[in-house]
Amino acid sequence: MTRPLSRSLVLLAFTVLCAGPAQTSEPTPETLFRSGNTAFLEGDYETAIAYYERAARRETSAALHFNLATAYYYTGRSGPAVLHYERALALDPGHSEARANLARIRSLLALTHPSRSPAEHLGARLRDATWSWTGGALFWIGILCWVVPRLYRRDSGWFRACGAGALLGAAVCATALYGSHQLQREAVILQNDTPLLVSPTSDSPPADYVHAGDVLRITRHHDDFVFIRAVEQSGWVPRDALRLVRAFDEPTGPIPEIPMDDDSEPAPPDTAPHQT
Amino acid sequence: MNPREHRFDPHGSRKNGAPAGVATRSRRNRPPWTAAAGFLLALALSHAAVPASSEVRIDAEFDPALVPLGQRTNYIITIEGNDDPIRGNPPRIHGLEISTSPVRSVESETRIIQGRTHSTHRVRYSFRTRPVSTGTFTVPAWEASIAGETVRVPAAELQVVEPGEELRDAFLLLLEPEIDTIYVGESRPVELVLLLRDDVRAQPRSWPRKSGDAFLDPDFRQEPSVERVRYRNRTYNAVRWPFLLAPIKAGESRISFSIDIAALSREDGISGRARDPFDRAFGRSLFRRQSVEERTVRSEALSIHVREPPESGRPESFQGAIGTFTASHRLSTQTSRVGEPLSLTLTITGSGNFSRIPPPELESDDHWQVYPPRTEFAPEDEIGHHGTLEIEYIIVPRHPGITHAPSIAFSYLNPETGRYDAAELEPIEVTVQASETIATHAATADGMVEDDSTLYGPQLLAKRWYSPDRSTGYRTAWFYLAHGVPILLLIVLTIWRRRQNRLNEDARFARRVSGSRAVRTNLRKARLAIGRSDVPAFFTHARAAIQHSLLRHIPMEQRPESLTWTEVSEHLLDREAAESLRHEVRTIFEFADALRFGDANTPVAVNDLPRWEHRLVALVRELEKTQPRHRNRFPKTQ
Repeated sequence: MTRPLSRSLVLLAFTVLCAGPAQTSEPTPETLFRSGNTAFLEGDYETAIAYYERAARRETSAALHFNLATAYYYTGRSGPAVLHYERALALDPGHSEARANLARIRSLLALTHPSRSPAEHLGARLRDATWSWTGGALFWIGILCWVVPRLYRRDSGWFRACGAGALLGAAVCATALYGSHQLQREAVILQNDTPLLVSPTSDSPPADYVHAGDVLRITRHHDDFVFIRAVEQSGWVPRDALRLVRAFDEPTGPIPEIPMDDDSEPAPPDTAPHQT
Repeated sequence: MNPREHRFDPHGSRKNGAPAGVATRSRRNRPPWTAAAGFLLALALSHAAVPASSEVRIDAEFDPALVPLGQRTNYIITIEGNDDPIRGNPPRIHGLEISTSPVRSVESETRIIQGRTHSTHRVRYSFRTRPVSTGTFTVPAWEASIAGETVRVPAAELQVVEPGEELRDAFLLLLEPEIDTIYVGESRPVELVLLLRDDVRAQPRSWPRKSGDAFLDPDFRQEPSVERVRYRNRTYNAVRWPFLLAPIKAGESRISFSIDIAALSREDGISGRARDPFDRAFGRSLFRRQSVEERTVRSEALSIHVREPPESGRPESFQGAIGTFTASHRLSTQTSRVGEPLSLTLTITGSGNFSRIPPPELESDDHWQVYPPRTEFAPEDEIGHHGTLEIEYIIVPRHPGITHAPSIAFSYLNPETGRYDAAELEPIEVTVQASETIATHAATADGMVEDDSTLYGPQLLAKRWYSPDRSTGYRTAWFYLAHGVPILLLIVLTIWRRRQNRLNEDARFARRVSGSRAVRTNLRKARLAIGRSDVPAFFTHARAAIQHSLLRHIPMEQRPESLTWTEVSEHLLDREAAESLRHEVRTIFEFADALRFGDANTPVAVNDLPRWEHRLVALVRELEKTQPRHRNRFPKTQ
């Protein structure tokens, strides 16, 4: 009598431990990404945006931001489109499709973006992590090239040259990281005809207007307002009117509802990867 | 009081242009010295002077013409064209006491017109008059003689009222023209008229104020116009403020106005017209007792029916323009490229509520990016009822092939007909070409994007996923922890290599290191010999430990095993070691030699070996203390 009961309890516990988490777990970012792709290919851009935005809250990738930007553009929202193209380029500076689409949108909508210094251009060529680890490795290589031969009494010009080259590379990486740090202030205007206020108050008169998709620099903060400097304009705008390009954890807006059936997981698209 | 029943009769604007009713600068008010100077000037120019007229003109009037009972007035006869004295007395009027001895004064005026001088002389006879009863008194025309010629003095009228009633109807505030109905949002040009009776000295002391919340507050802060008018058979100085009456609420609405004025009271019964020079210079007379009285003049409350613009026939483009307008539009250029801004200007001309006309809505679409318009109004009158309003939109074509500019719709309500009119504005034709940037990009994209409106995408594979946390690279703790590893490795390597190098280069250091190692080895072997109860081995290793311990600090090219007791004893004497220490070292050396070279009889029992081991360790420590501690005491061996 006791043996079947204990066996049932063990089976129940195993079932709860195994099946419980499976029922409550949410779709993975990869699953949401593929579901968004399916909606995108069907022309349902709003649904695609909902999937992509939800995936971006958890993990992010250059392809995700690229698709999200394109979907936003096709729904007529140029501000978020430019923002996510910029984020795709921040994650993958070699993303040629994102660069081409961004150049085209800027040309079509006559959007502006501030000029970059040489350090910022350098910092935008690779990801922060790449510059950081490469710079760190080159620094220690340079140090070792200078120190170890002296310890073993085998110092030579070759080691010194290698050490100098490695330290020079580390300095280049540090410069790029400085430029990348400066790019942290870049932001994109989301709403069209956002007023540039004279003072950081809600009843301040507008001095000028900036447009959705304009890239600008944040120079200082005051309460819920930020002072921005565009190509030929400057003024205060509400913090909600823009998003930092490299703040990947900062959502574009509220998470859209996904028209998803709880019983069935969205099927991944069976289309072959797009070759560009 | 209905102004429509009594039309104003303006006659003769003021010759000197001064504000009427405020400080009337009549020629009769000139001071005596001015008249004397004029008289001398007239005499000096008498040779070239041409008489203005050879006729004799005679006027008669009471000044003031309205007085309260008990106040005196003057019956004034003015003769122009003859300086000779007048002969005769005014007729007696019942109720009036007119003096028979008038005060005579002369005024001269000289004008130079087209190089010719015209002089005029006036002689004034002022008869002091005291009314004794109220009523209207008329001095009839009567005949007098001047230089033997008979002249006729015209009639003059005097009104005598009870005290306190002399200022009735002296100050009036009217809205002209009268308005019965008006539309909400309309701007109707009207005038607020302040009437100041000519015989009373008064002037406004504030801007007019409006009462009635159904209308916007008018802007009265502009220079009013002043003129003399006839109203209800009396002469007034009219101060006019034109403004736009703009209702903001429908229904029966009442509106009224008020204004503060300053009136100069007369307490000596003399006319308020100042005749002494101090009056002009200081604003008051030094010779009369006068005081300024503040008064508030209020208009009658007008009831106006404010109507909503009619619903029927209202076009969708109607945004509140009420008036009569004409509209046109133009484009800065009719050939453009994608991304190049164009200026689309809507011009509205006419009369109406320009300040309440919002720019017609023009929104961005797939073809045009439209920016907020900029408006500029050029008024043609001082209140902005007539003028031209220009609304400029900046528009940017989004793609090539656009054929027409955005269409603008403008409609307005004509308040005269009560109907809506729409301006016919046909879309302007335009040619939009592709921008040079896009053409270049399309060429370099190797034909992958054929249509300008399409973009690359989507990408179906995400190569790599990252955490959305923005702290990557040098902002992570792993980055700095990872840099700690090479730091530690470098420190260890440096220390180890420096020791190795010293061992190779410093013989004394190498001997000390190897001696210490040999001492520890022999002590360990002695301890193992105790475990085996091997007394000879114990003392052999004990002697070797003492020999290595001593030889660590002795710069001798000698093996430690060959060190004899004699050499050890000399060394200990050199180090001034204690006698007990030397004795124990000698004992160990002797026991070791006895066990090595003697028979099997051991001088020490096996059970005593642990005690000997303890003494050996203490002995090695004592010997270490007798050694020189200064590292550089001995010369460095090469």
